[in-house]
Amino acid sequence: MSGSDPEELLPLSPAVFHVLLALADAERHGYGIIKEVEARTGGRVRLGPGTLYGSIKRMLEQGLVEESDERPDAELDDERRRYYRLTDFGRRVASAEAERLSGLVKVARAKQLLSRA
Amino acid sequence: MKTPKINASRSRRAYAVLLAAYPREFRREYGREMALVFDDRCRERSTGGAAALARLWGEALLDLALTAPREHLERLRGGGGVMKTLRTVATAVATYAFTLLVVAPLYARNTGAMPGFVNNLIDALISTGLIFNFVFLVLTLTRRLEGVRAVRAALALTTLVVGALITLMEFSPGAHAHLNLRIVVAQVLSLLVWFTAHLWWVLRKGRAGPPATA
Repeated sequence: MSGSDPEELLPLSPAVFHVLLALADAERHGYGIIKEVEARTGGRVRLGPGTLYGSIKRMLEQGLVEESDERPDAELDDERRRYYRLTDFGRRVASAEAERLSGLVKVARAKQLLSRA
Repeated sequence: MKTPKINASRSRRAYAVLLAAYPREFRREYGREMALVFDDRCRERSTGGAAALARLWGEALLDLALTAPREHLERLRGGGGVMKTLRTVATAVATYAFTLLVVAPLYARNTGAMPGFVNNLIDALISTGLIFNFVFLVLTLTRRLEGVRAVRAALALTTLVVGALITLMEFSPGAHAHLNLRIVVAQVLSLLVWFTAHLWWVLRKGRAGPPATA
């Protein structure tokens, strides 16, 4: 799958895109992803455990994310948890989705549906 | 006024039970971490009182209701799962249809012409068969247990149900048929018949090779 064209997976579901964004700058475990998404969206998006791990399962199958072997510092590490990180393919898919959404925003702006620049 | 703390351990246990709504493979892979996430949620809202607890459970149940069916559907879509399930359902439905439409009416019409023990045996085969097949079908479809373990569990559950029904009938007011050795032997024989039939079926399936989803 990682050799595929990122465009084939678009559009992404909101949950998948949020998980990709959460992992774009750091490796995180499940709860870390949920907290990052909540913080970034001002609490408007709250991923439930079923939504999160269902998305992660499909993203692992599609090669968008992978489990990380590296562990954080001992005092921060929770051995019970698995950490996830973006793959190169996952990063390309996230970029492609961001471009797609950016294109839509441009259209909305051109049609004066957005009040701010 | 002090806000009461959430009883987190009870919530955790309840959520761990609810995880059974997901397919077994999914539960094995992610169940522990899902429970950990729920645990974290409990902790972060532990001082919020009843309102926080209600919100926590509202979100958890909605999430479960939306995602568990999807995971089951995906499992069924994956390599041969649908055909395996359809075969199981078709076999069970055919058994029920045959029992209810052919065997039961024939038995009802000829019940007076047959020796007492044959009556008891057919009676037991029909009643036990309906319960045994139902239990086995539910266990197989929900994938709680599979193969020989499902047959054993179906035998145990059916024995319990049949035993309870016989006891109920025995002690119900106005009961006209009382428990005797013939009825007990007929019930035991019919349980053995259904147990053997299901065991033969799952062992034969096992020899035909593992399912494509395995």
